[in-house]
Amino acid sequence: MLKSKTFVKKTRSGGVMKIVREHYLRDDIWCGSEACSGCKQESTVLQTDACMESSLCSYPHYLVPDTNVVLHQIDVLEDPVIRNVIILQTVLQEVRHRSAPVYKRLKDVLHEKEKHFYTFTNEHHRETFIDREPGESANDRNDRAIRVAAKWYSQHLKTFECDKDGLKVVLLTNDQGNKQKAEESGLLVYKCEEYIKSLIANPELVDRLALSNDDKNEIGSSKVLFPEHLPLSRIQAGIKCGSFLQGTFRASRDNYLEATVFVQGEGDDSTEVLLQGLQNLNRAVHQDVVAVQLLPRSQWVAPSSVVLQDEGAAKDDDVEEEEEEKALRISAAEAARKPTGKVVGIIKRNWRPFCGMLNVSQIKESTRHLFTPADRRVPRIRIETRQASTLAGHRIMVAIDGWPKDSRYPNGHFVRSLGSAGEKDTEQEVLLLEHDVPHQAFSQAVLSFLPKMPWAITPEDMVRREDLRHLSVCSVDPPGCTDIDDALHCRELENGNLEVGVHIADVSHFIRPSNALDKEAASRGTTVYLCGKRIDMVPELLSSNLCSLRSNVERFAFSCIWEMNHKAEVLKTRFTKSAINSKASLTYAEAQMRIDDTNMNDEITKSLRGLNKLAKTLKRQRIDKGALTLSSLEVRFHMDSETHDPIDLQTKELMETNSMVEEFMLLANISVAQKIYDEFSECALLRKHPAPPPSNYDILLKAAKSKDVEIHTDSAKALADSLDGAKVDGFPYFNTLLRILATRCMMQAVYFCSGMDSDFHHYGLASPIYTHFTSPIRRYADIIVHRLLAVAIGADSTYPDLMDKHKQSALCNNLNYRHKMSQYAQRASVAFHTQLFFKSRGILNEEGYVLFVRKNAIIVLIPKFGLEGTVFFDTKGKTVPNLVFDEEGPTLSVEQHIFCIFDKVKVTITLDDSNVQHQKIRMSLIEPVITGVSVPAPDAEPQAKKLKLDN
Amino acid sequence: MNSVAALCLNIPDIKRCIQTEEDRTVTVRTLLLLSLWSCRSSSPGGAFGYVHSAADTWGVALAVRLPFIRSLRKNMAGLELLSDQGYRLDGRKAAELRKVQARMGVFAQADGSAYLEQGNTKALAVVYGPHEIRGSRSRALHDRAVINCQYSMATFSTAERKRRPHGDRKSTEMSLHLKQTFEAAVMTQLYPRSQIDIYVKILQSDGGNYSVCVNAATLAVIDAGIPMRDYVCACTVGFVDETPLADLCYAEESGGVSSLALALLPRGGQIALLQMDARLHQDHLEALIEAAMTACKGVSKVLDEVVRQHLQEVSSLTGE
Repeated sequence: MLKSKTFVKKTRSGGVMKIVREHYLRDDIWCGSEACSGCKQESTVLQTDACMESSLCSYPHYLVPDTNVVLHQIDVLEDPVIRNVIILQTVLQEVRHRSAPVYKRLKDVLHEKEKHFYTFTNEHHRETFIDREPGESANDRNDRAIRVAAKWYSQHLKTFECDKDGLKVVLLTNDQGNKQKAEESGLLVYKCEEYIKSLIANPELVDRLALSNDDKNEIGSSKVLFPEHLPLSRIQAGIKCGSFLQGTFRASRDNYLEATVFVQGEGDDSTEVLLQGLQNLNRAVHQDVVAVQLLPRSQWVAPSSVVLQDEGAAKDDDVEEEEEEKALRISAAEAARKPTGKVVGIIKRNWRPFCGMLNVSQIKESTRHLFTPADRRVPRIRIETRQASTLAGHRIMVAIDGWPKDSRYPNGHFVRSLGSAGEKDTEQEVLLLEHDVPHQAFSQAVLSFLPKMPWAITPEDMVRREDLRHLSVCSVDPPGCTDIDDALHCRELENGNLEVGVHIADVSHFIRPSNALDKEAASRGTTVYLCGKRIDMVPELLSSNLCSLRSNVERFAFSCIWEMNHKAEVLKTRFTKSAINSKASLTYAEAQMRIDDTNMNDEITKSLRGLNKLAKTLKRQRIDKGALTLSSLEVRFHMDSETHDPIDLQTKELMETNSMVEEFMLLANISVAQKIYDEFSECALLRKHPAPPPSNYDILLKAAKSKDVEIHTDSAKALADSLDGAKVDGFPYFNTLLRILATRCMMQAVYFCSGMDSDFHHYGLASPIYTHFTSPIRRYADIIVHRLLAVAIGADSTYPDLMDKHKQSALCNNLNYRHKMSQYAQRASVAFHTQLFFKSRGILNEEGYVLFVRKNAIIVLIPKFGLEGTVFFDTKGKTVPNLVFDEEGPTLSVEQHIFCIFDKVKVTITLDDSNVQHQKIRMSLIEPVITGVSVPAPDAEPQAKKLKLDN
Repeated sequence: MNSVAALCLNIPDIKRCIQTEEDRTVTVRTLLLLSLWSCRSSSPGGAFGYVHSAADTWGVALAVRLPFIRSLRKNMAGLELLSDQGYRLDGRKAAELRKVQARMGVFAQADGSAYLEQGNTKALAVVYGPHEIRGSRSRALHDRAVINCQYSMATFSTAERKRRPHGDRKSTEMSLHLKQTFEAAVMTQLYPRSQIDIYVKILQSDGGNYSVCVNAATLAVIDAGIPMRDYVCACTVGFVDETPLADLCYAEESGGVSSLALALLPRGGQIALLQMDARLHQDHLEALIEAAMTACKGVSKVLDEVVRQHLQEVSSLTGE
């Protein structure tokens, strides 16, 4: 069975080294086809009736793509239509070398059962292995290996096929030479384009084809528009000797001819290099890693304040552009000039598929169109499609294939359509994609790690768990919550003390370290809540069923149990894995009613009352220590149950029970943080909230001063106290506004690994140590904390990654990133629904407060909707009123009127949908009346509009 | 032979001797079984007493090597050691050994000699003795033979030609391991006040040097006609993607695998030496040792065949 074959390889690592490796050839590698009677395989992957309806191949066939086809056309291969494909080991290895993302995608496809993709280990098969011939390049050898394997397959199938219905093998290659040689040896071979075009049922697949090299030359004029990029070796040499700088390219949002390159220096110092003009930008795309060369000091410029959008038509209109570029170069004051440079080469492209819309070409028959991405920082992309008419008005995804130096725009190809613009599902998809929220359905590999249903607790499970099923535990959550991760109980002990338990869903029992399920959850990092939709971190079976601590079912929990006296002092803390049976899942309102209703005296209500009493004490203690109560308006949409359109908008109400649950969650988090830090001082996952630098408070101090209120910001405690004391007579909303402003001054709280940092303090909560333990269903950080705690109490075993502080730290970075992105996505979703709401409401007149004053605008907050909007005073095409901005106040005087922070104004709200991709809420001033600026109050006509919608 | 039974170490015993660190991973470093004689003389304190953790004596030296192993792991991250189809870099499946070829009696002058190839790792073993103690007589033991092992690598054994002076730390360590392995296997008590020399040279190195040396030396000892309790067969195993890989080649060894070397007396299943320099989670240790034992038994079959064939050849030559 083992055939020894030694071959010699030369590699370059420092010098030339001869590497000798053994290479065994086997004759027990099977072909994987269902139709084969010769192979002794246990399971087959490739089907007998491998039918893809193609006008070129009318018989059932298997596809064998070569490396370049896989690398460039992975979008096509991923399509469900393409099935029964043989991926040769040669191809797989080459793909692995050349592109990690494509390799990952290919692997995912290989794992998908419905796709019937089979990996054939041809390099170790006795009959398909070939030696490199003298003078043959590695690439040629691989091409030959692919041909030999394809040949072997077609002969093998001919010999061993049981019912002779003519199964054939089709080689796909885009290489002309390879194709010719394959034809000579009698193989069926097609170019990828030829084959895809021949697929009868799926014309839209053609658009997904990436442009191959020879097609690219046809596009664009022969005129060279951009300077050549330097080869990587010269870039590296340049960076080493300091003549080039390496950095991340960041395009400007407002001006397509301007960008900055962020150069990370040693330690904390980093510089920004300004780039201006298409030539200097030299085909870099937002987020690429580029090498820049600084221009001589005499050519340095200042960033322009002009807003420029690339509106040029599809033809390369350079005359106009040159003028625009000239407009940029208005000589700026010497002081305002910044280091300016030009891009000399691209170190790493960071292209991803972009969302956006198609600008249909004016020429009717044209198949080339420009695509405008939703992200303004990304240039427009030229794509080829025949379905432009159907795609117009749709949100689509496009991937960039390349940017030749003679083309004004990068060339790309259509990936998929997300649906028509403005529709809720489409827009949701867009905002998920743009915020990099992984939201695909869970893969089979992930789902395979779910427990088998029906699931029940077995006696073995109970060996290491405490049985707390008899306790009257209950959960309190917002209405409609299905992923309940916490439950509480409180009871009086015989010694008069109280026993309080916080029970958290034991997610780490179901998600074992380093399996596919765990990796997926780690990469998602958090569950994302959008209006009317939830993107789960773990599959629904866990999030809404097995882990969710629903009432009257037995569930596993991780319990944190304290013994407290009536003054809410913790006497004893213990942690245990347990099994609980929640007696009730209540909403905040229901829980509040039970507490308030003096007639109810059952176990749960008593327990709730006990908890509520303790929580009040805890909260007081916490505030005494200097914890901040900040405010931000959160809005809640009332959704129509059928259309899921927002009907009403309401700011969230807070009840006593909200803070009751919160107090105990905080207490649990702090207790756990202390415990895991004591046990694992190097690798505990904690959460910190740094104190903001004093300059952050400037705006708050100025604003408060304008109302003669003094705010102290020396410490969290001082801030909390002075916020409590800040009141203005006749202005009850003042305190809330002040707290909203204070919230904006804060820093972002972050996860970190205790071994990598020394400052653990949580500023907002005034706690020396903090972590997240209480929501493992929706946050991955909590799962790690659960695992650490489980090890600390001896309930579980560790694994190497858990104890590696560098890996932990990398994980924290991902979690922080996902967390931030999910918040942005959430905000974007709220903004979109607000737009929908105002679309259905028509024009509204509302009262609001000035929150910020800017040079040319004021930002107005409307408390009723928690909506923030900008009132501009310098709209295009209107005479600009006399504006004087005073930074000290800050105040803005418009003609005669002076706006200060906290001023009450009246505005009218409309939806501006002149730009389909970027709809926004527009506000204009009604009161105070300033001639030439304010508008007369239009009639609010909500009902009429709504009727129209219903039709 | 009662003591052989006492020597039999089972896995729980080994586990007890292994230090578990704070993060529940184990670093076995080296566990050596002292020769039979010292077993007998040591207090019968259960299996625990028979095991001497070399970490005490060698801990310092080995600890220095750990960062080196880690840095290798980073560099070689590029290789996929086990494909989804279950094939390794060189086309073997996880539990398959490399091709083993061996010849006995390759030199006429020595008392015993053998040449053994395990894939691309090739070793020559030569045995002299038992003979009188050479040099200082004080080294002689009154009740058994002294085993003297010397390990060396040929200058041309690796990809880059390198002078390898005698007595560098690595080869001294390896010599000591070999010595202790053979003290456990050779019936030294039959030759009191005498000495047995075992010289092993690696001619070409491609991973698993220790195991190839042990296997070659076993054949050489048999060729010399020195009685042993059993063949000593050694094999390395690595741990990748939750799967133990038998008989690692160099690319795999340097690819960041936690590898474990084990020498076994296959018939009784006694472990003569167990060594692991990397860190491994304790839950996996048992599976790894199990796989190593299976691999060693595979090696022993091949060795047995070689010995029988050699015997046949020799006997046909002498006309018996």
